[in-house]
Amino acid sequence: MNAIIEAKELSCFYGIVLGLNNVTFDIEAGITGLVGPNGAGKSTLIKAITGQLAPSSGTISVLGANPINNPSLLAKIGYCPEREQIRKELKPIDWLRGLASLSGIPWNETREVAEKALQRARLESTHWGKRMGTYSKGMKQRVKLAQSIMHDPDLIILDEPMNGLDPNGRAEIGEILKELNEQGKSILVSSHILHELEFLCSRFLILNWGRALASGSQIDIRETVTEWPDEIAIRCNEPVKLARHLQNQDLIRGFLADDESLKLWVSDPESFFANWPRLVSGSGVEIFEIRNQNQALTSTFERMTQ
Amino acid sequence: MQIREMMSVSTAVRYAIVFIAISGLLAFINAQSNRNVFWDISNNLFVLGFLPYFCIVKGAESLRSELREGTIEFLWTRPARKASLFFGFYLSSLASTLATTFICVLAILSTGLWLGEISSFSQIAVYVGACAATTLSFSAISIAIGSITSKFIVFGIIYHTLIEKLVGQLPTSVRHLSVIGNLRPYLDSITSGVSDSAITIQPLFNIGLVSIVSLLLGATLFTWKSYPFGSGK
Repeated sequence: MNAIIEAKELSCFYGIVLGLNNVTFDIEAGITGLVGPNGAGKSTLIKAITGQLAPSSGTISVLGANPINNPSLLAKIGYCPEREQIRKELKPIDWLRGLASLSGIPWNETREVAEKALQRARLESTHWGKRMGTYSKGMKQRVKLAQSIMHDPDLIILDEPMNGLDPNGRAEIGEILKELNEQGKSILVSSHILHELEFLCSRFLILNWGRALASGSQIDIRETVTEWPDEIAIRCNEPVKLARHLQNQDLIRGFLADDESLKLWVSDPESFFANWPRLVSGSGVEIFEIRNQNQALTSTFERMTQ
Repeated sequence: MQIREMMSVSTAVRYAIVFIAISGLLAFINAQSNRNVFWDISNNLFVLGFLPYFCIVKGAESLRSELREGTIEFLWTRPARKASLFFGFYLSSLASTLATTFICVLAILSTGLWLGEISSFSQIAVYVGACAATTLSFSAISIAIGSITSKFIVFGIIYHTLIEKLVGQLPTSVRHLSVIGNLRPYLDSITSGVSDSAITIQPLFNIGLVSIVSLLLGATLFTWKSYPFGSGK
């Protein structure tokens, strides 16, 4: 296993307020989604990974090193915070040059580095001469992304990078992140927009109430929640008739029907789908669409955090 | 970045207005007064009165504004020591404060030369030294207080009006830790003409020491303290 972040019994408290509670997990190279509701501990974990917050107990290792007071490690990390605040009075090039200089890039190279990063973040050059206070949310997100990648880090940590972006913008950011991943960069991205993460990330870490509920690929995580019934949505011409027919077969735990659709809760989805042609052929109902809702990350997330 | 903000036309216009206002006011008050008040105003009102408060207000502003707005996260996650960032904040505040102080001092000295109140180069040197020492020390004290609390202006003013005076009146050598206590005899040497090194060199050394101790204390606190982000915090 190629773990880039390893936490062992990690706890972080803000005074008496709990941030993370005894979490143990590994994050491997690739694109990992950090998922959890508000207050789950996502930002606390990101602060611990970037060395902004010392663990109250336990250990955390990032790229094999302790992140606290470790500038050489920070040189390998790019971080894009959730906060929208940037230096409004500055132009992006000036701000990025200052930050690049702090990242150890010689001053005479900072302009080129900043321009490349802005191009990579797909901020149009017509906006480079404007002060950032005049920027839209989406443009600010791109500048923030640019500052996190301009020093060519090995690990990029993005806290809600899709916030404020329209669907096209989110798709573009997704493409940029995939490109970076193809170039060998590892990415940890937290987001509330789960369906975006689903297509972007190969692995997930689900947090809630300061605890790590699950980590791994979406399939791995789904396997941990088998005790919950799968939710299957069916569109058909006679939902109530189909529900009664299936109930008689003793394969469903519950259903919810309206005029056009039927929701089923199934304990054993494999057996259900194996028998599906037989089940439906005897019902006399015309089926338009059938979908297992639990294949979606949103569903897994909702189950884990309920 | 703050230095870049200073290089604008609006800043130049603001400095020009400050220069004209100070020169005009000083010349007007001097002309209206029965006695010669030029050095009274320049020393007591400007150096010992206005300048410490100005430095207290401005000294920690760059650090606290980054903390208040949360933009400090972009700096903290760079491969730079927190102490280096702290000194960077001090230098950027100092550059901004010194620029304003320079314009004020230039206006005061120009007016002094025009009124015939300045007769020697040593008077200019001592006065510039006093202003520079005040700016360096009170900016350092301000940012050291700013590393502890967002209410650095309130605590800075309390420090200036109570602790400075209290320490300056102590009958032991501890009184040399008072910046104002060191500055007063130093500034008096401008009008008295005394050029004893105990009056001209020692106070600057003491003030330098206070500045260095404040900066080291501030850098240590800034390195180890954890700060909540957000407005008003």
